[in-house]
Amino acid sequence: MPVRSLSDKVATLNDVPSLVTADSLIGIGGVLLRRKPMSLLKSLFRVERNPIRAITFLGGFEVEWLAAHGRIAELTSGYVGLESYGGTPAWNDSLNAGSVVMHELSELMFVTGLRASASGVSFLPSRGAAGSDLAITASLREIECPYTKEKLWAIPALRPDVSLIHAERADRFGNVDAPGIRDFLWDSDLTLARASQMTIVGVEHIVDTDELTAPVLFAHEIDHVIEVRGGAAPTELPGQYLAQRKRILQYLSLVKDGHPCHSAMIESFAEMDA
Amino acid sequence: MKKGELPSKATEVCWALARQTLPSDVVIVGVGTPLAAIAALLARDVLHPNLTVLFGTAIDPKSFDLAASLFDSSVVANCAVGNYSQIEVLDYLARGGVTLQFVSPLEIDRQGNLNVSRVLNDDGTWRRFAGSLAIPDTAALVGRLVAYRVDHDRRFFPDRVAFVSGAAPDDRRLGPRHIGHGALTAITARATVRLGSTPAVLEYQGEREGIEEEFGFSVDIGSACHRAAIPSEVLKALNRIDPLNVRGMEQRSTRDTTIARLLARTP
Repeated sequence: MPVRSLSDKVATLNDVPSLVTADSLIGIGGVLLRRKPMSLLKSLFRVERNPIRAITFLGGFEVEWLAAHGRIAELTSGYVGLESYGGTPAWNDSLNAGSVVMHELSELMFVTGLRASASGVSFLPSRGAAGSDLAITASLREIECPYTKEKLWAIPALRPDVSLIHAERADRFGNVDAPGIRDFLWDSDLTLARASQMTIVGVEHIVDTDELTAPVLFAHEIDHVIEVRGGAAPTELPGQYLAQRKRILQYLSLVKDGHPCHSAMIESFAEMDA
Repeated sequence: MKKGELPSKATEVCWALARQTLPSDVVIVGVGTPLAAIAALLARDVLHPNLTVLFGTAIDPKSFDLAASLFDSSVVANCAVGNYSQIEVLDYLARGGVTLQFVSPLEIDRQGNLNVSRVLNDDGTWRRFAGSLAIPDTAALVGRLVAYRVDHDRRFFPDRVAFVSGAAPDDRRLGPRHIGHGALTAITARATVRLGSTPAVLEYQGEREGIEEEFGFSVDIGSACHRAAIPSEVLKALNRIDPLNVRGMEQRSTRDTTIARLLARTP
């Protein structure tokens, strides 16, 4: 009888630069100040690399960190900010200076694009963003429903070459457990992973398959698993650790006092550049 | 609030927002607008007990520690009836299930177009802001939107927004039809204004004299009425719901001190 032998997907942070090719469109998981794959992002820059092209549903600290270091050239997203705490000065300055490009999408446009990719079709119809100038800036095309004649947007598929996400637990084959707490948009990384050509997942713990309680992404959908403790810090991993908001505010305060974003970021988050 | 002290601007706006709810509304509030969340919880507490509140993706959370929820996303999730997935909540929006949303844009014009994306500099270049979130979608799909900003500013009310992030239903230039009514009401500490008609009509706070100069479009002050005082039971409810005055984060003069106070409680 043949023996079942799943591929071992375990990699290390040192492997990340070679797994993510230079011109990749990178999907960044997490939302706002939660579940951002900070360690995976940081590891991209262990080698000399041009500023990246990325997509993220709702950007937060990770976009600011990338912008403060001049490590991002282009972003597709619905929002970049630090929730109630304010804007992202490095990102905003770069955007307004024209040194980065943002393709702004509404939330429905973004997720419909991911769902099209995950479904293997080139577009999906949506009623979102009716009448919005975003439909013009995104060059959306209108279609007519062949059944009802209703006008709808054809939202093009959004397909990252590789996505980076961070979770609590997975086994070495790539089965990823559900989070302990199903908080705000906990599942957005599932859609992102399924829309992507390749997915690298960082986890706090690699465990035996028997220890998984309710896997939500599966071995055949995940390409690499990397164990990295505190891999979402300084953002929150709900139920595991909180976002380091005091330090984020310290960074904002330094910038407000006239420090350049780059040096303020290094001063506030030295470990991110160690 | 101490005895004899006047309600803050944020308190005024909170109550004015709560009064926009209807008994069977399904109201959605974002995670970055605590004042909107407080207004929805206040409305459920003192006006319409059957109101359904979607706090982001959390369905009908019981009363919870709002300040703690700003730091720890498990707080709301743990006290909700359940939590929608990303796709479930967006599908619910798309099929017109949400009847009310409180939004805080950069600008709202006389027709009800919302701008949350960018404004024009004097030199003709754009100044970009954080981004539109779901506002382009909800402007078209949610039953009705109420725009708010605590501090009244004429720049909040241009005759025409610089960029249409979320379109007014009467200003549809392209694309699918609206199934919602869009943003037809805007609220600040100074006034509540009904939009979509010319001239717009308003309810004001404080002095009436000169109020028409505080908008970038014509407003009808002939039928304007003074905003009623906040009932004491509402203030008591607000103290229960928001004892740490988290709503002060959205008022310019109290923003920094509120954040500092809340951070002092952070683990």
